[in-house]
Amino acid sequence: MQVRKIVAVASCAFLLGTGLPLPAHATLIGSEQLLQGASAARDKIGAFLARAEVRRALVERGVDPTQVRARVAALSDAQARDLAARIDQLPAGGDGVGDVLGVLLLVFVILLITDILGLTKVFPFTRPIHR
Amino acid sequence: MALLLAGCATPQVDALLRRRPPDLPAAAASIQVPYFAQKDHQCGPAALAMVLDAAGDSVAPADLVGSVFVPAREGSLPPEMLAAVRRRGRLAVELDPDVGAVLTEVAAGNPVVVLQNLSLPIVPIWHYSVVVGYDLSSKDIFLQSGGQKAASIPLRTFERTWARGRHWAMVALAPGTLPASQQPDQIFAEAVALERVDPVAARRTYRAITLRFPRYPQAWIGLGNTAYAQSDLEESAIAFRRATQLAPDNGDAWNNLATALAALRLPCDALAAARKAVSIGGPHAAEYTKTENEIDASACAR
Repeated sequence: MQVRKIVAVASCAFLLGTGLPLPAHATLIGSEQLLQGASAARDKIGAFLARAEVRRALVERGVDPTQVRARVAALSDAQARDLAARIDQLPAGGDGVGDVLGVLLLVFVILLITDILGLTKVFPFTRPIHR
Repeated sequence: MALLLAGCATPQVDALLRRRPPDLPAAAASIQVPYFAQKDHQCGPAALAMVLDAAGDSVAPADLVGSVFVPAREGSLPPEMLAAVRRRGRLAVELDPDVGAVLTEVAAGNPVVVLQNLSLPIVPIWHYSVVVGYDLSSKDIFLQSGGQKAASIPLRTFERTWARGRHWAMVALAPGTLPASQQPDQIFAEAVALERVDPVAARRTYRAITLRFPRYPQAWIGLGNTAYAQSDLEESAIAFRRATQLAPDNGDAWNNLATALAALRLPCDALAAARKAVSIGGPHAAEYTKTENEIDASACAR
């Protein structure tokens, strides 16, 4: 009896977490269905698969597995499909204004090296190693 | 050379300065948002915490890292920024890729999260900032981010860095508050996304849409659905009824009205509405038939 209860609760939590629309009432057209139009069934399956794909991709990219379910559940269907299709092409905002210094430093070092190699002559204080 | 020049053009700001839209104020004083210094690669959580605070939700950036940060990408992805706002019970709205939309929101008091590429496309530095003010006469925009307290930069510089960030912008709004700039279709779609995680907040958003756009039927259906799910059958039936009046050819509205009326124990009215839905048909026709069959119509004349 206890086991059956646990299984019921667990499968319920699973269904909620996957974002599979639970029928609140068997015959109410849900708000999400209003957006889907003519290809409703296909859209629903596509979004369902996209969510599974995004969960897998996020875990692969270092996201805590206990977090992914809630994260992906909060995406709209369209966003889940978008993320599934181009998770590595989307820009990831992360760097700060301070990181510009890092780029400048990199450019400076590159030009310094090219100056020293005699390929460029940007800085007055460099002397190429080859004459 | 042409490529370089293409990266320097600022068509949106040029058009805006040449001819200011009549409903856009010439300047908006800086919106007060708290400042959070950012830790490594955490400008996403810092920007989120700033706009959430303005939407009445005090949360530390550190508590948002687990909702948006992707370690392997060393940053946060735009769709997840929107999703994180919803998980805080706030309405997230992605704005049109138009600097006018951004300034309209700021003028309405809504700070805007923008994605910039501070560097050039070959060595991108992706960065989230929060727009808190602007001044068209001095051609400045005021930005605050995890790396910098509110400071002005030229509007044209902003457009260049924002265009390289693919013109991505969003607002986070307290439930019941709507964005100043978007069309009802866009706001409705964002409310539907909010309903996935917070139906109570979504219900307030739907209601706000019906107040601003009273002739937009979808918002009435959304209001009816969330009211129904929260056991407010009367508001639900009123909302669905309104939707059927605004859009008499919308089978979904009739079907949902039938369901709400049946739950209110008005089987004869429910049956009439269900038959209407069935006669309209459409992609959800099977559900309409199911609704009709489930109504106990033994007391009604056929």
